[in-house]
Amino acid sequence: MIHVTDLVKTYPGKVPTPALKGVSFDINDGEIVAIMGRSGSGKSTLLHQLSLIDTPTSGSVLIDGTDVLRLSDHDKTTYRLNDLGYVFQEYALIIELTALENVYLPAMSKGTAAKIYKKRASELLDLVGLGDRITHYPVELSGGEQQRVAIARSLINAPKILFADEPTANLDMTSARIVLELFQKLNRELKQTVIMVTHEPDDMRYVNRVIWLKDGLIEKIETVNQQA
Amino acid sequence: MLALMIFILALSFLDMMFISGVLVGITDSQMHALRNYLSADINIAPQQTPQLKQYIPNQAQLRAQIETLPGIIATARHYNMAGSLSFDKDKTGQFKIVSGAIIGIDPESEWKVLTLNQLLIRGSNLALGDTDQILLSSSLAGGYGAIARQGSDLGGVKVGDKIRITFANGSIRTYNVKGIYNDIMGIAETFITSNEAESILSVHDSASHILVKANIDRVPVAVYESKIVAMAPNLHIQNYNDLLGSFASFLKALNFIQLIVGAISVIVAAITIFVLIYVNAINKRRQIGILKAIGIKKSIIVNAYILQSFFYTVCGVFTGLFLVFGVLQPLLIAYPVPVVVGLMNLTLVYTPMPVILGIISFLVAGFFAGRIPSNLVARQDILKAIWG
Repeated sequence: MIHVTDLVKTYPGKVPTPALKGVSFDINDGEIVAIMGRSGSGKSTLLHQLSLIDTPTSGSVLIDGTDVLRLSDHDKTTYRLNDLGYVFQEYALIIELTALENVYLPAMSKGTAAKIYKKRASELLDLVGLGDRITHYPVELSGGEQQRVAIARSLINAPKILFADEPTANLDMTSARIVLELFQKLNRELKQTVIMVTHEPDDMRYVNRVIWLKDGLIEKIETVNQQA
Repeated sequence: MLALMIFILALSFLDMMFISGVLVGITDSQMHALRNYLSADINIAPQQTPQLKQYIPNQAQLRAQIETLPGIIATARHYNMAGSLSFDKDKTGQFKIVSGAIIGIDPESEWKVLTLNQLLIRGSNLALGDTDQILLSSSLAGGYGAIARQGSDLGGVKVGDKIRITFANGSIRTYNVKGIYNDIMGIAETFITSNEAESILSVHDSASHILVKANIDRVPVAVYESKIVAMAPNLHIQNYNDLLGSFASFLKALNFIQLIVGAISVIVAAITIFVLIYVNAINKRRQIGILKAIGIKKSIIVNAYILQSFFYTVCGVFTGLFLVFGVLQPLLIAYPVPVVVGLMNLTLVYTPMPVILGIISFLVAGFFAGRIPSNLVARQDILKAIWG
């Protein structure tokens, strides 16, 4: 369970810019939640704080009882590696590595045995429908395929939570649908908690709840599908 | 890009190795010439304290004793005299006179210790029985392309010409010029036989100096020196290092230059690697940010760049080693480039330790030049790295 309390993020500068002005909410295990709002509402900022790739100005984020914001930088890195998955808007694959290598890179870094992580990476690529493309390099894959490789990579260490920052923004409608259906499948089959930022109203079909942000504050939390 | 960087690193390494090789080559050639033509390895002079003696007595017995020591190759004796040489080139009674050192030698043993005989350019070398013959330096004879003595030569002596020598003790004798040697060291010495010297000086079985040639490749010269000191504690014994004089400061200067050039080459290489890794890391800043975001530890990212830097350095060093030992060194042996004609060619001389130190310096430079920039980039905030 994720328990967020009074999360504030202000970007420093000559004129400090408040991006989150005190956000509190809970997310249950196994939920798919979308963070939505207009541009500049603070949705990506919120995702960055939750996924520990940025540090909020104040507030707390408890994940399964652990106040993750109090962890040291080293421990945050380890936490990201072991317990969080992250899918970027722009696929963010290492172009010099094959799809398989991209997927098992975090497991390799974790110290998992090669035989195990290679097998799991293959299984994950199968799961995202790319079992026949494991030796392909990113440039040989379509945008949708690259995004699915990125999703497989985010799952390699069996994370508690999968974060996705506008994962369909750069994809055509078909690829976007495949990716969102994949999130649903992961949620259904693996009970994977997914938190994603999106600005596409159609994406609401695939999530349980939507956290609407406006000017750095929660406008409303909307339950859209009990079983997405 | 990769090949270019490796080539630049190889050139930096080559630069360091080439200059140091040339300087060691010069030092080596100079020392070799000094030992072979001038000082030998050990020089024994007469007693200096408590009472200064002019000659070493019973030289034959002492030399025989020294020659029993393992590693001693040969010994020779010198009678050192001074005198003025007069030459009437045109037989007009107008003598040209120059002063110089006249050395009495035993030709056979002499050539085993000092190899001036190999520098003969005209006539023939002295033989044991010669009494009215001299071996003249080209710088005294005049001409022959010798080091100029600014008018202090005899104006063009040829083999067979007669030279009158007035010795310091007043004795005057006339000699035939039997041979002329190339005075590449500029020593301007005239040689007569020891028998002749003894008849002038009225001494027997003595020596002004005893020169010793030893095998110093494996045993340090100081070891031989101490053994000879034990044999003849009253004599004044020095090794060739003690006799270097002003040449020692020249060698120190060369060593200093070598050190500076080596340091500059290592710094240039380090800067090259630094720029390469920094540019590479900057170009891949977003990738580094992504790697950090997915939980890859900073140390792993930095180590990957250090490994890359090591790869460049090792390739550069091996290419440099190939250029030095596979191309330049054999090329200079096949096509010698004279530095001092007859005395010194441009050679690349290396001993293992400086080469190993050079390689280690480059690898250490590669390590830090890889670590610093990658650390700078990997330290950046994740979002800043990803979005710029």
